[in-house]
Amino acid sequence: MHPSLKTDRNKGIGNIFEIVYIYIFIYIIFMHISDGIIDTNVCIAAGAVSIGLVYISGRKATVDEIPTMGMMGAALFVASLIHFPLAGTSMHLGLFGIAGIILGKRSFPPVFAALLFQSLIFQHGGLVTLGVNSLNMGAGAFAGWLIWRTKFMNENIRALLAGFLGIIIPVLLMSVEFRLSGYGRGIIYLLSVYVIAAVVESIITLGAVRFIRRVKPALLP
Amino acid sequence: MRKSILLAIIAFFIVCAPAAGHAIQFETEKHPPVVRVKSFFSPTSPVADANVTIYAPGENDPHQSGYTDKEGFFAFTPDRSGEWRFEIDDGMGHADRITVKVSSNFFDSEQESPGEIDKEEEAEAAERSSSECVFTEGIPVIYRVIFGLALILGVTGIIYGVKAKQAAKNNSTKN
Repeated sequence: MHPSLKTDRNKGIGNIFEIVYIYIFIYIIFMHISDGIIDTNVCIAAGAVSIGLVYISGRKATVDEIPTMGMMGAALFVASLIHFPLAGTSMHLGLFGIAGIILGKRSFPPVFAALLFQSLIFQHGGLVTLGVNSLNMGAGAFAGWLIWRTKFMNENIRALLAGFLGIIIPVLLMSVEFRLSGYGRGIIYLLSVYVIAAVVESIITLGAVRFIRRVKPALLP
Repeated sequence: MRKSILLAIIAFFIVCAPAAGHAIQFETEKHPPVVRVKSFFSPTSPVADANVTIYAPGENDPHQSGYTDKEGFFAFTPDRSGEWRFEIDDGMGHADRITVKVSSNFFDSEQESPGEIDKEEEAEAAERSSSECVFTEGIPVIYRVIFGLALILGVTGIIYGVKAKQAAKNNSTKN
Protein backbone atom coordinates (compact mmCIF):
# COMPACT_ATOMS: atom_id res chain seq x y z
CA MET A 1 0.00 0.00 0.00
CA HIS A 2 1.21 3.48 -0.83
CA PRO A 3 2.57 5.21 2.33
CA SER A 4 0.64 8.39 1.57
CA LEU A 5 -2.61 6.45 1.64
CA LYS A 6 -1.92 4.83 4.97
CA THR A 7 -2.88 6.84 8.03
CA ASP A 8 -2.40 6.63 11.73
CA ARG A 9 -5.43 4.95 13.31
CA ASN A 10 -5.45 7.53 16.08
CA LYS A 11 -5.46 10.44 13.68
CA GLY A 12 -9.21 10.25 13.22
CA ILE A 13 -10.49 12.02 10.16
CA GLY A 14 -7.00 12.54 8.74
CA ASN A 15 -5.64 15.64 7.07
CA ILE A 16 -7.30 17.41 4.19
CA PHE A 17 -4.80 16.11 1.64
CA GLU A 18 -5.54 12.56 2.60
CA ILE A 19 -9.26 13.21 2.27
CA VAL A 20 -8.93 14.80 -1.17
CA TYR A 21 -6.56 12.06 -2.31
CA ILE A 22 -8.87 9.25 -1.25
CA TYR A 23 -11.95 11.11 -2.51
CA ILE A 24 -10.53 11.27 -6.02
CA PHE A 25 -9.21 7.75 -5.77
CA ILE A 26 -12.49 6.17 -4.69
CA TYR A 27 -14.61 8.19 -7.05
CA ILE A 28 -12.49 7.13 -10.01
CA ILE A 29 -12.59 3.46 -9.18
CA PHE A 30 -16.25 3.58 -8.04
CA MET A 31 -16.43 0.58 -5.80
CA HIS A 32 -14.17 -1.62 -7.94
CA ILE A 33 -11.26 -1.77 -5.56
CA SER A 34 -7.94 -2.40 -7.30
CA ASP A 35 -5.12 -4.55 -5.99
CA GLY A 36 -2.74 -3.10 -3.42
CA ILE A 37 -5.27 -0.85 -1.72
CA ILE A 38 -6.92 -3.17 0.78
CA ASP A 39 -4.94 -5.09 3.36
CA THR A 40 -4.03 -8.61 2.17
CA ASN A 41 -5.60 -10.30 5.22
CA VAL A 42 -8.88 -8.52 4.55
CA CYS A 43 -8.68 -9.66 0.90
CA ILE A 44 -8.08 -13.28 1.91
CA ALA A 45 -10.92 -13.27 4.45
CA ALA A 46 -13.35 -11.59 2.05
CA GLY A 47 -12.26 -13.96 -0.72
CA ALA A 48 -13.00 -17.01 1.44
CA VAL A 49 -16.41 -15.63 2.44
CA SER A 50 -17.23 -14.76 -1.19
CA ILE A 51 -16.35 -18.18 -2.53
CA GLY A 52 -18.47 -19.75 0.22
CA LEU A 53 -21.39 -17.47 -0.63
CA VAL A 54 -21.05 -18.15 -4.36
CA TYR A 55 -21.18 -21.87 -3.66
CA ILE A 56 -24.11 -21.67 -1.25
CA SER A 57 -25.98 -19.26 -3.49
CA GLY A 58 -25.51 -21.21 -6.71
CA ARG A 59 -25.47 -24.78 -5.43
CA LYS A 60 -29.19 -25.43 -5.65
CA ALA A 61 -29.93 -23.27 -8.67
CA THR A 62 -32.50 -24.99 -10.86
CA VAL A 63 -32.25 -25.42 -14.62
CA ASP A 64 -34.84 -22.67 -15.14
CA GLU A 65 -32.84 -20.19 -13.05
CA ILE A 66 -29.54 -20.64 -14.92
CA PRO A 67 -30.42 -18.60 -18.06
CA THR A 68 -31.71 -15.71 -15.93
CA MET A 69 -28.52 -15.80 -13.87
CA GLY A 70 -26.43 -15.75 -17.05
CA MET A 71 -28.37 -12.86 -18.56
CA MET A 72 -28.12 -10.88 -15.32
CA GLY A 73 -24.38 -11.59 -15.13
CA ALA A 74 -24.03 -10.26 -18.68
CA ALA A 75 -26.07 -7.16 -17.78
CA LEU A 76 -23.91 -6.50 -14.70
CA PHE A 77 -20.79 -6.94 -16.81
CA VAL A 78 -21.93 -4.35 -19.37
CA ALA A 79 -23.45 -1.96 -16.81
CA SER A 80 -20.04 -0.84 -15.61
CA LEU A 81 -19.28 0.49 -19.08
CA ILE A 82 -22.21 2.90 -19.13
CA HIS A 83 -20.73 6.07 -17.70
CA PHE A 84 -22.54 9.31 -17.02
CA PRO A 85 -21.30 12.62 -15.64
CA LEU A 86 -21.93 13.36 -11.96
CA ALA A 87 -20.52 15.94 -9.52
CA GLY A 88 -17.66 16.95 -11.80
CA THR A 89 -16.61 13.41 -12.54
CA SER A 90 -18.18 10.33 -14.12
CA MET A 91 -19.71 7.23 -12.59
CA HIS A 92 -21.24 4.08 -13.98
CA LEU A 93 -24.23 1.91 -13.25
CA GLY A 94 -24.16 -0.95 -10.77
CA LEU A 95 -27.58 -2.62 -11.21
CA PHE A 96 -27.12 -4.58 -7.99
CA GLY A 97 -30.60 -3.67 -6.76
CA ILE A 98 -32.33 -4.99 -9.86
CA ALA A 99 -30.06 -8.06 -9.81
CA GLY A 100 -31.22 -8.76 -6.25
CA ILE A 101 -34.87 -8.27 -7.18
CA ILE A 102 -34.74 -10.64 -10.16
CA LEU A 103 -32.32 -13.26 -8.88
CA GLY A 104 -32.96 -13.14 -5.14
CA LYS A 105 -30.63 -15.44 -3.26
CA ARG A 106 -29.01 -16.54 -6.55
CA SER A 107 -27.36 -13.11 -6.95
CA PHE A 108 -23.86 -13.96 -5.81
CA PRO A 109 -22.62 -16.15 -8.72
CA PRO A 110 -23.58 -13.64 -11.47
CA VAL A 111 -22.04 -10.76 -9.50
CA PHE A 112 -18.86 -12.78 -9.01
CA ALA A 113 -18.70 -13.77 -12.68
CA ALA A 114 -19.30 -10.21 -13.89
CA LEU A 115 -16.57 -8.85 -11.60
CA LEU A 116 -14.14 -11.59 -12.60
CA PHE A 117 -14.50 -10.82 -16.30
CA GLN A 118 -14.45 -7.06 -15.71
CA SER A 119 -11.17 -7.52 -13.87
CA LEU A 120 -9.65 -9.78 -16.53
CA ILE A 121 -10.86 -7.94 -19.61
CA PHE A 122 -11.02 -4.30 -18.52
CA GLN A 123 -8.65 -4.36 -15.50
CA HIS A 124 -11.63 -2.88 -13.68
CA GLY A 125 -10.90 -3.94 -10.11
CA GLY A 126 -8.17 -6.34 -9.08
CA LEU A 127 -8.01 -10.12 -9.00
CA VAL A 128 -6.67 -10.22 -5.44
CA THR A 129 -9.53 -7.94 -4.38
CA LEU A 130 -12.09 -9.93 -6.38
CA GLY A 131 -13.40 -11.48 -3.18
CA VAL A 132 -13.75 -8.08 -1.52
CA ASN A 133 -15.57 -6.61 -4.51
CA SER A 134 -17.82 -9.65 -4.89
CA LEU A 135 -18.70 -9.63 -1.22
CA ASN A 136 -19.53 -5.92 -1.26
CA MET A 137 -21.63 -5.94 -4.40
CA GLY A 138 -23.19 -9.32 -3.76
CA ALA A 139 -24.28 -8.03 -0.36
CA GLY A 140 -25.85 -5.04 -2.11
CA ALA A 141 -27.86 -7.35 -4.35
CA PHE A 142 -28.81 -9.49 -1.36
CA ALA A 143 -30.03 -6.39 0.53
CA GLY A 144 -32.09 -5.43 -2.52
CA TRP A 145 -33.71 -8.86 -2.48
CA LEU A 146 -34.48 -8.66 1.27
CA ILE A 147 -36.22 -5.32 0.77
CA TRP A 148 -38.09 -6.57 -2.28
CA ARG A 149 -39.53 -9.62 -0.55
CA THR A 150 -41.01 -7.55 2.31
CA LYS A 151 -44.54 -7.02 1.10
CA PHE A 152 -45.39 -4.22 3.52
CA MET A 153 -44.68 -1.36 1.18
CA ASN A 154 -45.78 -0.31 -2.25
CA GLU A 155 -43.88 -2.01 -5.07
CA ASN A 156 -42.44 1.28 -6.35
CA ILE A 157 -41.07 2.21 -2.93
CA ARG A 158 -39.54 -1.25 -2.55
CA ALA A 159 -37.89 -0.91 -5.95
CA LEU A 160 -36.47 2.50 -5.01
CA LEU A 161 -35.17 1.17 -1.71
CA ALA A 162 -33.68 -1.92 -3.34
CA GLY A 163 -31.78 0.24 -5.84
CA PHE A 164 -30.62 2.58 -3.07
CA LEU A 165 -29.42 -0.23 -0.81
CA GLY A 166 -27.77 -1.94 -3.77
CA ILE A 167 -25.23 0.89 -3.70
CA ILE A 168 -25.22 1.93 -0.05
CA ILE A 169 -24.60 -1.55 1.42
CA PRO A 170 -21.46 -2.12 -0.73
CA VAL A 171 -20.28 1.37 0.22
CA LEU A 172 -20.73 0.68 3.93
CA LEU A 173 -18.88 -2.62 3.62
CA MET A 174 -16.17 -0.89 1.64
CA SER A 175 -15.71 1.73 4.36
CA VAL A 176 -15.36 -1.04 6.95
CA GLU A 177 -12.75 -2.76 4.78
CA PHE A 178 -10.85 0.50 4.35
CA ARG A 179 -10.92 1.03 8.13
CA LEU A 180 -9.66 -2.51 8.69
CA SER A 181 -6.83 -1.76 6.26
CA GLY A 182 -5.69 1.19 8.36
CA TYR A 183 -7.25 4.19 6.65
CA GLY A 184 -8.48 7.15 8.68
CA ARG A 185 -12.08 7.65 9.74
CA GLY A 186 -12.35 10.34 7.10
CA ILE A 187 -13.08 7.64 4.57
CA ILE A 188 -16.51 7.04 6.12
CA TYR A 189 -17.52 10.68 5.70
CA LEU A 190 -16.19 10.75 2.18
CA LEU A 191 -18.29 7.81 1.19
CA SER A 192 -21.34 10.01 1.66
CA VAL A 193 -20.78 11.09 -1.94
CA TYR A 194 -22.15 7.73 -2.94
CA VAL A 195 -25.57 8.81 -1.71
CA ILE A 196 -26.00 10.73 -4.98
CA ALA A 197 -25.03 7.64 -6.95
CA ALA A 198 -27.45 5.56 -4.88
CA VAL A 199 -30.30 7.96 -5.65
CA VAL A 200 -29.56 7.73 -9.39
CA GLU A 201 -29.40 3.97 -9.14
CA SER A 202 -32.68 3.76 -7.24
CA ILE A 203 -34.47 5.74 -9.96
CA ILE A 204 -33.02 3.44 -12.63
CA THR A 205 -34.10 0.40 -10.60
CA LEU A 206 -37.63 1.77 -10.32
CA GLY A 207 -37.73 2.33 -14.09
CA ALA A 208 -36.45 -1.19 -14.72
CA VAL A 209 -39.00 -2.76 -12.36
CA ARG A 210 -41.89 -0.87 -13.93
CA PHE A 211 -40.70 -1.88 -17.39
CA ILE A 212 -40.36 -5.55 -16.44
CA ARG A 213 -43.77 -5.50 -14.71
CA ARG A 214 -45.31 -4.30 -17.97
CA VAL A 215 -43.34 -6.48 -20.40
CA LYS A 216 -42.52 -9.70 -18.56
CA PRO A 217 -44.02 -9.75 -15.03
CA ALA A 218 -43.08 -13.41 -14.50
CA LEU A 219 -39.47 -12.27 -14.10
CA LEU A 220 -40.34 -10.46 -10.87
CA PRO A 221 -40.86 -12.77 -7.88
CA MET B 1 -11.76 -34.24 -13.10
CA ARG B 2 -13.04 -31.64 -10.64
CA LYS B 3 -9.62 -31.49 -9.02
CA SER B 4 -7.87 -30.79 -12.30
CA ILE B 5 -10.34 -28.01 -13.15
CA LEU B 6 -9.77 -26.47 -9.71
CA LEU B 7 -5.99 -26.72 -10.15
CA ALA B 8 -6.21 -25.08 -13.58
CA ILE B 9 -8.24 -22.20 -12.12
CA ILE B 10 -5.77 -21.73 -9.24
CA ALA B 11 -2.80 -21.84 -11.65
CA PHE B 12 -4.49 -19.26 -13.86
CA PHE B 13 -4.99 -16.93 -10.89
CA ILE B 14 -1.39 -17.36 -9.73
CA VAL B 15 -0.05 -16.60 -13.20
CA CYS B 16 -2.37 -13.64 -13.64
CA ALA B 17 -1.94 -12.11 -10.18
CA PRO B 18 1.20 -10.05 -10.92
CA ALA B 19 -0.47 -8.51 -13.95
CA ALA B 20 -3.74 -7.75 -12.20
CA GLY B 21 -4.95 -4.18 -12.08
CA HIS B 22 -3.23 -1.84 -14.51
CA ALA B 23 -0.29 -2.93 -16.66
CA ILE B 24 2.48 -0.39 -17.08
CA GLN B 25 3.43 0.50 -20.63
CA PHE B 26 6.60 2.23 -21.74
CA GLU B 27 7.70 4.54 -24.50
CA THR B 28 11.41 5.14 -24.92
CA GLU B 29 12.79 8.22 -26.62
CA LYS B 30 16.45 8.86 -27.28
CA HIS B 31 17.63 12.44 -27.28
CA PRO B 32 21.44 12.00 -27.24
CA PRO B 33 22.99 12.18 -24.72
CA VAL B 34 19.76 11.60 -22.78
CA VAL B 35 17.35 8.67 -22.82
CA ARG B 36 13.82 9.52 -21.78
CA VAL B 37 11.32 6.84 -20.72
CA LYS B 38 7.63 7.53 -20.41
CA SER B 39 5.64 5.16 -18.17
CA PHE B 40 1.87 5.06 -18.37
CA PHE B 41 -1.15 2.87 -17.64
CA SER B 42 -3.09 4.32 -20.56
CA PRO B 43 -2.41 7.33 -22.81
CA THR B 44 -4.30 9.57 -20.36
CA SER B 45 -3.04 7.96 -17.16
CA PRO B 46 0.73 8.37 -16.58
CA VAL B 47 2.61 6.57 -13.81
CA ALA B 48 3.42 9.70 -11.83
CA ASP B 49 5.75 9.98 -8.80
CA ALA B 50 6.85 6.36 -9.11
CA ASN B 51 10.20 5.18 -7.82
CA VAL B 52 12.66 4.44 -10.66
CA THR B 53 16.02 2.70 -10.48
CA ILE B 54 18.43 2.53 -13.41
CA TYR B 55 21.10 -0.16 -13.68
CA ALA B 56 24.04 0.10 -16.08
CA PRO B 57 24.81 -2.90 -18.36
CA GLY B 58 26.16 -5.83 -16.34
CA GLU B 59 25.99 -4.01 -13.00
CA ASN B 60 23.93 -4.83 -9.95
CA ASP B 61 24.44 -1.53 -8.12
CA PRO B 62 22.04 1.24 -9.17
CA HIS B 63 23.45 3.75 -11.61
CA GLN B 64 20.74 6.28 -10.83
CA SER B 65 17.46 6.42 -8.92
CA GLY B 66 14.66 8.92 -8.55
CA TYR B 67 10.99 9.52 -9.27
CA THR B 68 8.99 9.98 -12.44
CA ASP B 69 7.45 13.42 -12.95
CA LYS B 70 3.71 14.06 -13.07
CA GLU B 71 3.63 13.10 -16.76
CA GLY B 72 5.36 9.77 -16.03
CA PHE B 73 8.69 10.81 -17.57
CA PHE B 74 12.11 9.82 -16.28
CA ALA B 75 15.37 10.72 -18.01
CA PHE B 76 18.88 9.41 -17.57
CA THR B 77 22.22 9.84 -19.29
CA PRO B 78 23.94 6.57 -20.32
CA ASP B 79 27.72 6.63 -20.27
CA ARG B 80 28.25 3.38 -22.20
CA SER B 81 26.49 1.21 -24.74
CA GLY B 82 24.63 -1.97 -23.83
CA GLU B 83 21.40 -2.99 -22.16
CA TRP B 84 20.32 -0.59 -19.43
CA ARG B 85 17.80 -1.87 -16.91
CA PHE B 86 14.90 0.41 -16.04
CA GLU B 87 12.86 -0.60 -12.97
CA ILE B 88 9.74 1.20 -11.82
CA ASP B 89 7.56 0.79 -8.73
CA ASP B 90 4.71 3.14 -7.84
CA GLY B 91 4.37 1.68 -4.32
CA MET B 92 0.76 0.66 -4.97
CA GLY B 93 1.35 -2.79 -6.37
CA HIS B 94 2.31 -1.65 -9.88
CA ALA B 95 5.90 -2.53 -10.66
CA ASP B 96 7.64 -3.44 -13.90
CA ARG B 97 11.00 -3.34 -15.65
CA ILE B 98 12.33 -2.96 -19.16
CA THR B 99 15.72 -3.02 -20.78
CA VAL B 100 16.77 -0.03 -22.85
CA LYS B 101 19.28 -0.91 -25.54
CA VAL B 102 21.83 1.82 -26.07
CA SER B 103 23.90 1.31 -29.19
CA SER B 104 27.37 2.77 -29.79
CA ASN B 105 25.75 5.00 -32.44
CA PHE B 106 23.81 6.70 -29.67
CA PHE B 107 26.91 8.58 -28.56
CA ASP B 108 27.22 10.13 -31.99
CA SER B 109 24.34 12.58 -31.81
CA GLU B 110 24.38 13.24 -35.57
CA GLN B 111 23.53 9.67 -36.44
CA GLU B 112 20.31 9.52 -34.50
CA SER B 113 17.59 12.06 -35.00
CA PRO B 114 16.60 13.69 -31.71
CA GLY B 115 13.22 12.80 -30.28
CA GLU B 116 12.79 9.72 -32.39
CA ILE B 117 10.81 7.06 -30.59
CA ASP B 118 12.75 3.84 -30.41
CA LYS B 119 10.58 1.50 -32.44
CA GLU B 120 12.57 -1.53 -31.38
CA GLU B 121 11.94 -0.78 -27.70
CA GLU B 122 8.30 -0.09 -28.39
CA ALA B 123 7.91 -3.41 -30.19
CA GLU B 124 9.70 -5.17 -27.36
CA ALA B 125 7.41 -3.55 -24.79
CA ALA B 126 4.35 -4.51 -26.84
CA GLU B 127 5.59 -8.07 -27.10
CA ARG B 128 6.27 -8.21 -23.37
CA SER B 129 2.87 -6.75 -22.65
CA SER B 130 1.14 -9.30 -24.83
CA SER B 131 2.89 -12.12 -23.02
CA GLU B 132 1.31 -11.02 -19.75
CA CYS B 133 -2.16 -11.98 -18.64
CA VAL B 134 -3.52 -8.58 -19.63
CA PHE B 135 -4.32 -10.16 -22.96
CA THR B 136 -6.89 -7.60 -24.00
CA GLU B 137 -4.52 -4.63 -23.94
CA GLY B 138 -4.86 -2.67 -27.16
CA ILE B 139 -8.07 -4.41 -28.25
CA PRO B 140 -10.98 -2.00 -28.92
CA VAL B 141 -13.56 -1.79 -26.13
CA ILE B 142 -16.41 -3.12 -28.25
CA TYR B 143 -14.50 -6.34 -28.98
CA ARG B 144 -13.68 -6.69 -25.30
CA VAL B 145 -17.37 -6.31 -24.43
CA ILE B 146 -18.34 -8.95 -27.00
CA PHE B 147 -15.56 -11.21 -25.71
CA GLY B 148 -16.74 -10.82 -22.10
CA LEU B 149 -20.39 -11.39 -22.97
CA ALA B 150 -19.50 -14.44 -25.02
CA LEU B 151 -17.55 -15.86 -22.08
CA ILE B 152 -20.34 -15.23 -19.57
CA LEU B 153 -23.07 -16.61 -21.82
CA GLY B 154 -20.86 -19.52 -22.87
CA VAL B 155 -20.21 -20.50 -19.26
CA THR B 156 -23.94 -20.14 -18.58
CA GLY B 157 -24.68 -22.46 -21.49
CA ILE B 158 -22.26 -25.07 -20.20
CA ILE B 159 -23.71 -24.93 -16.69
CA TYR B 160 -27.24 -25.08 -18.15
CA GLY B 161 -26.32 -28.15 -20.17
CA VAL B 162 -24.80 -29.92 -17.17
CA LYS B 163 -27.76 -29.05 -14.93
CA ALA B 164 -30.30 -30.11 -17.57
CA LYS B 165 -28.51 -33.41 -18.01
CA GLN B 166 -28.52 -33.97 -14.24
CA ALA B 167 -32.21 -33.10 -14.03
CA ALA B 168 -33.03 -35.50 -16.88
CA LYS B 169 -31.02 -38.24 -15.20
CA ASN B 170 -32.81 -37.69 -11.90
CA ASN B 171 -36.18 -37.79 -13.62
CA SER B 172 -35.36 -41.04 -15.42
CA THR B 173 -34.21 -42.71 -12.19
CA LYS B 174 -37.40 -41.60 -10.43
CA ASN B 175 -39.51 -43.08 -13.22
